[in-house]
Amino acid sequence: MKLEKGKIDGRQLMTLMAGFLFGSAVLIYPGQWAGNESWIAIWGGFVEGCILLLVYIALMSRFPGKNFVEIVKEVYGRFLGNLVALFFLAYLFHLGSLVGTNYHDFIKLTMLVQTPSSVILLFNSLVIVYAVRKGIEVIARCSEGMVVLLCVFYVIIFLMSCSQIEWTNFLPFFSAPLAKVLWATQMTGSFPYGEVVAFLMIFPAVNNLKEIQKRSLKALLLATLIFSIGSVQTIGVLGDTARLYVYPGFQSGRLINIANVFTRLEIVIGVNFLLMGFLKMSVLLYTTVLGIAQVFNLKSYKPLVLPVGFLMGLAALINFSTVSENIEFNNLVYPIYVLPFQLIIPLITLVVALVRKLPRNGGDSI
Amino acid sequence: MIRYLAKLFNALAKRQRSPVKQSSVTKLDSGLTHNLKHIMDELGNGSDVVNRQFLIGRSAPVLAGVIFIDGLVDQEMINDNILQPLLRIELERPVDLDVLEKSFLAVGGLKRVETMETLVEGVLTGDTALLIDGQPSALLLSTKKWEQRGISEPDTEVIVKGARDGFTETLRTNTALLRRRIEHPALRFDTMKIGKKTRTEICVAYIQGVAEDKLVEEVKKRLRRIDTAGILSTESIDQFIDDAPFSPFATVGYTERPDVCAAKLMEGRVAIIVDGTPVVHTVPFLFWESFQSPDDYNFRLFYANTMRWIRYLAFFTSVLLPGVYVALSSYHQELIPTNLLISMAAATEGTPFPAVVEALGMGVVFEILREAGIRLPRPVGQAVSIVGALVIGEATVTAGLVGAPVVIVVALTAIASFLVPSQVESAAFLRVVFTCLAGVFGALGIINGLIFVYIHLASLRSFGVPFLAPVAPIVPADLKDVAVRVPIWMMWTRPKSIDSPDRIRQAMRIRPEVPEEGHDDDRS
Repeated sequence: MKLEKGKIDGRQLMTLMAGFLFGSAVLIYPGQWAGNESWIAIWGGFVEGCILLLVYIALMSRFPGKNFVEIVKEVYGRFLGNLVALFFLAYLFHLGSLVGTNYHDFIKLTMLVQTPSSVILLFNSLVIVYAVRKGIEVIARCSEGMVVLLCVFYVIIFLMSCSQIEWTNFLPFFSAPLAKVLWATQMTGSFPYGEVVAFLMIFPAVNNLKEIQKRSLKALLLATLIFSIGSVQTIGVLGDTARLYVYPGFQSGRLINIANVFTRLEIVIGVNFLLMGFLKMSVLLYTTVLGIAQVFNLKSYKPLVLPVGFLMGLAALINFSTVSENIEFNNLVYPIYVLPFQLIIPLITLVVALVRKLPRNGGDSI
Repeated sequence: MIRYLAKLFNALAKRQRSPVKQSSVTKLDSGLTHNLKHIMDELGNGSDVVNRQFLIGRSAPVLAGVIFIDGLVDQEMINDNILQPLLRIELERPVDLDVLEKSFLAVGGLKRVETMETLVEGVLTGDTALLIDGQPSALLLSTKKWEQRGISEPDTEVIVKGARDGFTETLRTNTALLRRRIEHPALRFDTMKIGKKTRTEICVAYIQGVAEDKLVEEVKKRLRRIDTAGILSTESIDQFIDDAPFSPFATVGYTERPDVCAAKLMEGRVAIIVDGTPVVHTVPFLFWESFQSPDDYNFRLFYANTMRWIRYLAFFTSVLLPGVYVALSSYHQELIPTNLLISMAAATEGTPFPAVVEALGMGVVFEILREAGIRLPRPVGQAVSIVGALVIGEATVTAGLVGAPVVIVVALTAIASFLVPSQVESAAFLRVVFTCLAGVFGALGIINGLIFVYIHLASLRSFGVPFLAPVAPIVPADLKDVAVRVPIWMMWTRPKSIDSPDRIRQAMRIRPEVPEEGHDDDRS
C-alpha cells in the first residue's frame, strides 16, 4: 500500500534538498562558531555530509522504492522495527520543532517584537499544514522557484556588500586550535548536512532512482557554495564582531548601503530564511506524518497533518525559554545528540541488512 | 450526525440521477394534417410559427406543408428556393420525398427525419420542415438566418498592432472565423447540445494531431456531465468544467479574439465555443497565459519583453502594494529611507485611522467607483469619475480623513490592476487578504501569505497540466514564452507542458538571413 502517490523528478529532489539544507542555516551560518575559519568548517561539514549521504543512499538502494520506516520494518521485524521507526520519527519531529523555534525566535527578535509567539507559530503552522496536505509533489514544485530565488538573492546581496568587505578579517589563517575546528566541523556536519537523513523518507517518491545520488550530491554542493558566500560576507563585513550578534548574516545585510538608495537589505535575508524555514518545516512535518501513518498502518496520512503540525508548533514554543539557551544547545549538545539518528541507526540498519542478506527477493539493487 | 446527513445526501443524489432518461419517441404519421396539428400543438401554436400548406404537381397533386419559425429563417430563401420550385413541378407521377430529396429543392443543407422530436428540434433551430401527405417522414431544410451583430473589435481585448475582428454571438460565425485562420482539414469542430430547456449548441474546437486526444476526450467528458436546464453564457460552462471551483484563480481561459484563439489551438489547446456568447474558452489555461498579450508577438523584441515584465510587475503591485504600504508604515518604519519617512509622517499626521483601515477603506471606495463606472451609461460614468477623483480623492485628504500616501497607493494599485485584465478578479480578492495580513503580521504576514498563495497555485491543475507550469515545475523549454519572449523564429517547439503529440512547431534555423555585402554588385 502506497501512502504517497505523488512523484518528484531528480531536479525537484535537488532543489528540495538544497532548500532543506538552507533551512535555518541561511540565518545561523553553519560553522559560525569557528570564527573567521568557519569556511573550513563548512567544507569539512560538506565532506562529512557527503559520507553520510552515501550511507543513506547505499541503504536506500538496497531497498528500492521503500522509505526508512518500511526498511526498518523489514530489517528488524515488525515490533523492533516499529520501535526504531518511532525513535527516528521522534527525532524528525523534534528537528521540525527546533526549526520552528529558530523561526519564532528570529521573528520575535527582528520583526514582531510584541506579537505573542503562539500567534506567530500558529500562523506559521497553518501555512505548513496546508502545504503538507497538498503532498510532496506540491512542496517539491514550490521548492524549485524558491531555491532559484534564494540563490539570486544571495548573489545580489553578496555583490552589494562587496564594498564593505575587509579582506584582512580573514587573517590569520588556521589560527584556531584544531579541536575547535573539528568540533565546528561536526557542528556543520550535524546541522545542516546530516539532517538530510529525513530524505530517507522521500527518496522513494523520486521517479528516477538512478538520479538520486548525483542530484543529492549536487544539492549538497549548491548549499555549500551558498554557505561559503554567506560566511565570506559575514566574516568580511563584520570580522570579529560577528560573534556579538545572534544572526550575524542578518546583521551584515543591514550594513549594506549603496548610494543611500539600497539600504537596510536585511529584509531580503529575512525573506530567504522565512522561505527556506517553511520548506524545511514542511519536509519535516511531511516525513513525520508519513512515517507515523506507516507505523500504525493508516490508510492516509492526511488526517494526521493538522494535529501533528500544531503539536510541532507547540513543541517549538516550549523547546527553550531563551534564545541563548537555544544557541547553547546548538553549540554544545546538538552535534552529539544527533549521532544516533544521523549515523548510528542508518549505519546499523545497513550492516544488519547486509548481514541478513536482505532484501530476500534477490535484491534488484540499483 | 454528519455521517447520517452525508448518507441522506447521497440517497437524494442517487434518486435524482436514477430515472433513466427515456425520451419518448413519436414516429411521424402518414397523414399530413395530423402531423401538422401535432407539430403546432408541440410548438404551442406560437404566433411566430408559420405553417403553409400547398399542392405539388399538376396531374396528380399532393398536399404538402412547410413549417418554420419566423425570425429564425431566411424568408427570401424559402420563397425562391423551396416554395417556387415546388409549386412549379409538372410531373406525371405523384411526387414523393425521395424525388424531392434528389431534385427541385435548391437548398444546401437537407436532412430526412422520421420522428417528431428531431423535426421539432430542427424547426426550433431555424430549419424549415417540409412534409408531404401520405408519407411518414419529413425533410428538414437548412434555412437558418437571423439578425446578428456584425463582427467588431472586442472592447475587452484591444490591441495596437494586429487583427481587429472579434467573435460574435453566433456559433457559425465564430467557427467560420477560426476556419478562416486555420485552413487545415485537421481543424475539428465537435458539437453537442447542453441544457434541457435552452438546448445550447456547444462546439469543442481543436486541431487533430496537435491537441492531445486524451485532452479532447476529457473536455468532452466534462461537458457531457453537465445536466442542467439552461446554459446562457460561456461563463456558466466555465464553472461546470473548472478544476478548482473554490479557487480565486480561474483555470479556464477566455478570449474574444479569433487570432488569440487560433494561436492557442495551434499550441495544442482545446477551445469551447458556446452559441450565444462572443467569449470563447480555451483549456488548459495556465497562470502565465494571463500575462501574454497578442501585442507581445507583434511588437519588436525588446519592447515586447519590457512590456511583459512591466505586466508582471503591475500584477505584483496590484496585489501587494497596499499590503506592503501597511506593513512598512505600521511595523517596519526602519526600512523606509529617512527622508521619505519624514514626509510620510508629515502627510499622515492627524489622520484618525490606522494605515490598514485607511487602505482597506480606500480600496473599497475604489471598487465602488469602478463598478459604478462600468454599469452606468457613458455620460453618467464621467460624472462618477469626477466625483471619485475630485470629491473623494481630494476632499478626504484635505479634510484630514485619510493620509495622502494611501490615496496614492490605492490609485497606483488600481491602475496597475488593469494591466492584466484576466487576473483582475483574483487580484482584487488577494489584495484585500494581503492588506489584512499585513495589518496583523506585517512583513511576516505578506511572506506567509505569498507562500500560501504559491502553494495553492502550485497545487492547481488545469485539465491535468500544472497551473504554474513552466515555473513550478520548471520546464526550461517553455520559459521561452514566459520568462522572456524570444523571437518568433526561435519558438520551434510547442509548449512542452501542454504535451501536444506534435511537438515541432516550425523548422529550426529559420533565422532571417541577409545576403552578404557585395551581392549588390551582381545586379549591374
